[in-house]
Amino acid sequence: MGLDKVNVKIVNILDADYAQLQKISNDGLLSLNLAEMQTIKKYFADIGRNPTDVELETLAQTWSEHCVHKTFKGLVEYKEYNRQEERIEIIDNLLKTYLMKATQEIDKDWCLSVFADNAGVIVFDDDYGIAFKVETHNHPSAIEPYGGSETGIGGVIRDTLGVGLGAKPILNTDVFCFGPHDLPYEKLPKGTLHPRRVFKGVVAGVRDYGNRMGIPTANGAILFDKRYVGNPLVYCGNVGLIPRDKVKKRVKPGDLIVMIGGRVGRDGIHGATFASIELAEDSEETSSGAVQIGNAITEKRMVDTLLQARDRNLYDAITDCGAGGLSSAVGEMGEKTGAKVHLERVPLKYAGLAPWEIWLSEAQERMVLSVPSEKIDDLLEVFENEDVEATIIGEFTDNKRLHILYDGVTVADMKMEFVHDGLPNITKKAVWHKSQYKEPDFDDPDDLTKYLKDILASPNVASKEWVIRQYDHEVQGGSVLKPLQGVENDGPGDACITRPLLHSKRGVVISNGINPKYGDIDTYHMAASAIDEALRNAVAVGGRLEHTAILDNFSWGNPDKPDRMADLVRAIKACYDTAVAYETPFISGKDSLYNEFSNSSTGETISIPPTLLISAISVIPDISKAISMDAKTPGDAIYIIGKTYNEMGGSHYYHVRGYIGNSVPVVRPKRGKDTMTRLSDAISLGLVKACHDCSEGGIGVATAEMAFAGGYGMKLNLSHVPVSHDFTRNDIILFSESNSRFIVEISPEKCGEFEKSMQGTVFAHIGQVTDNKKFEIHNGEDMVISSNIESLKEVWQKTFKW
Amino acid sequence: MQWKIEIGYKPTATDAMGQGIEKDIEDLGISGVEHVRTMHIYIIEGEIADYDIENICENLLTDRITQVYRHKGSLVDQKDSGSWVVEVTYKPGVTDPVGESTVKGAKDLGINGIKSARTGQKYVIKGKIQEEDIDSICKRLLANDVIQNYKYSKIA
Repeated sequence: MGLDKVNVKIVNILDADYAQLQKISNDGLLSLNLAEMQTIKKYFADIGRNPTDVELETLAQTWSEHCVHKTFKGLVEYKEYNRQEERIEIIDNLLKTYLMKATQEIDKDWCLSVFADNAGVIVFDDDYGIAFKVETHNHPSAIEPYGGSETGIGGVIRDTLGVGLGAKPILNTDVFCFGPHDLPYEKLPKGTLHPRRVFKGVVAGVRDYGNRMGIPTANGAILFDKRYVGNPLVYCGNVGLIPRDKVKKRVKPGDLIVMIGGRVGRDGIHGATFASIELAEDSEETSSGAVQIGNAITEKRMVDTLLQARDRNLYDAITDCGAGGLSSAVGEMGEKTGAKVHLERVPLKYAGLAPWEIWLSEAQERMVLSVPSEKIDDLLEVFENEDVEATIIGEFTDNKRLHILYDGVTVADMKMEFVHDGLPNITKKAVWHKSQYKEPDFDDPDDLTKYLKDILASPNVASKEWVIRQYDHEVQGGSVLKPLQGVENDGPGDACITRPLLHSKRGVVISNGINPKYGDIDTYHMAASAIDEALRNAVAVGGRLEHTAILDNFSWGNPDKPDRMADLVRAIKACYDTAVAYETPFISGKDSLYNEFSNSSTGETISIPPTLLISAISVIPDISKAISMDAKTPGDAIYIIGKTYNEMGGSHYYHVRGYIGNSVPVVRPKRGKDTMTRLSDAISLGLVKACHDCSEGGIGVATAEMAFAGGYGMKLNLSHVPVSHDFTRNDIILFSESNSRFIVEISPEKCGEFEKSMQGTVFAHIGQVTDNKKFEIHNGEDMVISSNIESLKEVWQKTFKW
Repeated sequence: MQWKIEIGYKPTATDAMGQGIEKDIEDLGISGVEHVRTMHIYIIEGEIADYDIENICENLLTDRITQVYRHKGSLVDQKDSGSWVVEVTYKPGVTDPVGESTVKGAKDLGINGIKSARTGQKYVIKGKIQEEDIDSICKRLLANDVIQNYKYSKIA
């Protein structure tokens, strides 16, 4: 065959025994398990030859956890021990059984594309749809924070660009989880970068890439926990605007395969399989091949050129070259047809790449188009005029085979069916035991001022202004509600609103919900709470549940360990229950598993806390109805909406006092939905002047933030707060993190109308905005908090004044 | 032919990156640093005339209001005696987007002789610092071993 002439090796698996098969996988960093290697062996035994390295690498990529989501699509045996009772359940395909099923049952006609493409798409107006995708880029960011976050952003931008026939990127969102920024150097495990360095590098990467692309970064969150030291999390999201007649794509046999954008080098080889293994101390060394470096300028030129080609209808389909490079992009596009690729035509950065490296390279800023032959000249001309490289590298066929050549020599030839569906089904075991933590036994303190300040200063709650100010959140001119709000533009907004079409009043609301602290107690309630939080953030600024979709992003530990797998199952069950109850469909999602770090000095393996990010997107008809969170006028009434329960488990108050507790906040979606719908009505009637979601730090933090963002004092009385009847403590009323609650400001003349519109929900007038700088909370006659907004704001800002 | 270009800040301009690094070194728990200056390095290979290099420095790489450049010799001189100089460059094979843009930018200026351009950073760190501290500053702050090489020396 002349394979040696083109630098392709035959891998002898036909003669390999179990041990040798596993060794081939391990040595080649293929991350294929024994069952998978055996399946591959059988396929090649049937066709009577050994695979080439190109074929084996293609299968490793396509079958990697990162690309195929084996855990979400496989079988799970879930066992639950609750009150000595054992319950067993077999679940076939978590994704279909829960997440996709929720979307089907909710059945919203404004969902244009769900779970089928690179991003989810919902209706924006009669002409346009809005695409939204959130991805993780955890492992690369652990090794090289700047390049990792840059390419994370770059990749997710190409995801919306690759949805349908291409959406124009209009907004970025970023959520990060890091180790403690003040971790002593002596405690830093060997082979990891200090959390502070990861933090600064990741922020710089997002800043440089987003700003240079001219895309505003307008929503996000940053959380800290010591279990993220060896394995930080970097979630990158992008929102795009797409004409509704460009939402569908279809590859036609005979179409030419065209690669556009950057050239191919050794960057990011094995990125997808690398993402599917635990990090270890030597990760820094062995995985340097997985490091990708971003180039925003190349991507910006590609985006602009591509949108021109899209509007001239010059191609039939498009996808992004992400994890797995050409192998994934061409493999996915040609799944139903077949594809033939000539690798020697792929433009390289430098000579010397073996065919499998060209096929797998994750060199950034590239996409693949399917172009009808009669349009190819026009397409190439558009790209040439803009000085963006576009190269015909092959064609889509109708033989349902993946056929790859180099200099005319066949280097891979497999059935598409085997590549995509050959993966053996796996069964994961999941066993859940309810966690039990020590209940705190301290008394209700007389003065809670100190604890309010401790929570405001704690890293998760503290101001992230130092980060936010580095991002451009105004470019493209559509920002309506920006991340920092209030009289001095430094208060923490609940969500951002952008206006994609400057001639229209329609807007897009983006928010998020994430709280890994609850997951330590029960991931079911963590997931439900994350959805509730994302939704109430969106509602707080003027979003409406009736036109809100959500995205799930799971970052988890090793799913081969039954306890972690059980946590995952529970979280996914909650996603179904809560989404269906709120009638907010999932439109896209992603999972990143195996987020664990093994410290070989201590022999410990540290899993990240189960971390679910829920991102919400809502379309609103009139951006002039949007409201911010800062207190506006002295004399205005402050109301709480929603009931406060004794739900302190995983709360920030317990956290600053050194406890976890057990009574995690639960979601009561029937009541929650009613509350949010009524509040949306009140907001759209113009009855609400300010609204802030009540979450981390409860009523105490929410009201303090509203007061100091607005520059006014507040006087509140806890005796009016509607509570469940099983407690009387002030610290619980003030700091409980019960879901579905809001604090709103209403001007005195509108109180009557507001109360009428909220009839049937739980709400109460708890105090007012004052014309001084005092922040005072009583319960009856007793003083609970006595401070002033300047000192509260100061402690809140001080933590990250870098 | 290889050219090594250094771009530094004028004494009247703010070196924000340098100031940030001063603070970061302090955060590492290393005291004694008085001042940090930063410079960009461009290593350009190819057949290029002297005046073309001047042209690239003047019109492509330097902000003439705040920066100065040298393509012969170095911006580090006797005045820096006693300071440490650290140079951080990409390892071979690592994608260097700024280098790639430099080649393209030169082409836009009509200069086609460049074979390759690689970029790096130079830091002049003034203060009473031991060699082991400099090494730790390089490892923990200035260079990422996965993609970069570094070297340091003390200016006599």
